Amino acid sequence: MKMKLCVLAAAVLIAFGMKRHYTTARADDLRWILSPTAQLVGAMTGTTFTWQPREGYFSRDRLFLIEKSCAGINFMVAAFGMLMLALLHRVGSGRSAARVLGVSLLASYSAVMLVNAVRIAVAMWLAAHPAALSTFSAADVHRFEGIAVYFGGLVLLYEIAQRLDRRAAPVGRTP
Amino acid sequence: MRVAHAFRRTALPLASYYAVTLAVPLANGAELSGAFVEHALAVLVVPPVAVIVACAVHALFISPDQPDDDRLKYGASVTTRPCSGAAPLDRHIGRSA
Repeated sequence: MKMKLCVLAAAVLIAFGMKRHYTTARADDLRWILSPTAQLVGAMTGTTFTWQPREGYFSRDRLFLIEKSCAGINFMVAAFGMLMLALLHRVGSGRSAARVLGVSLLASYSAVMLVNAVRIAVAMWLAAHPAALSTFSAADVHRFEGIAVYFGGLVLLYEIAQRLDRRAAPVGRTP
Repeated sequence: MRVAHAFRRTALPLASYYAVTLAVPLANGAELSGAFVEHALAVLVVPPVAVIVACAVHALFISPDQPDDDRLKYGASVTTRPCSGAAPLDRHIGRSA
């Protein structure tokens, strides 16, 4: 129980650190997440993104900028917290605690790149087909799409984590 | 029944999404401007609607003719009920022995 509380406290600190970093960061500081995302979006859409200092990754042919607000840090924090809670029952020792923290961080980082790339690719498609959903403004469509993709990504990540957790060895008593 | 099950299953993703997109900004003293309220409404409404739509799509196109109760009792595709007209296995074994 004490170990679980320590892990939860560590997770809260990590999440707080991520949010804090995002608040003060410029696009240049977020290249660790923007760069792989831009590469994935480029592979999905066949578009070339070039780095613009202090702005982000820009596609000249699609007039689309992947900037700071596209980084998906909020999604990463939500995914990290969700995975921590889902895998908390596996924490028994210091070693298992470090493993759960590491797996949650790595999985949330991988998930944010993939889900964010899908979100941006869909947003680019919607921007190129504005008449398809003319009832709402472009900003509304972009917002709804972002919420649906992020939430869908969280649900998918949770399902994958649950399935892998069930398949993995049952939790044993650790000293 | 199916929708309630879906909401139970997505409770943790939904809670973490609401926590990061609504609770944290509010705890940080986000200004309750028109833009934030509009965004918060979209964040509150879209995920439950997405769950309901997913349930409807699942019911209509993926498993349209299988009642919920049967699936809950017997699993998605395995049934413990014998096929109609087939003799129990032990009777076949007894005859051939």
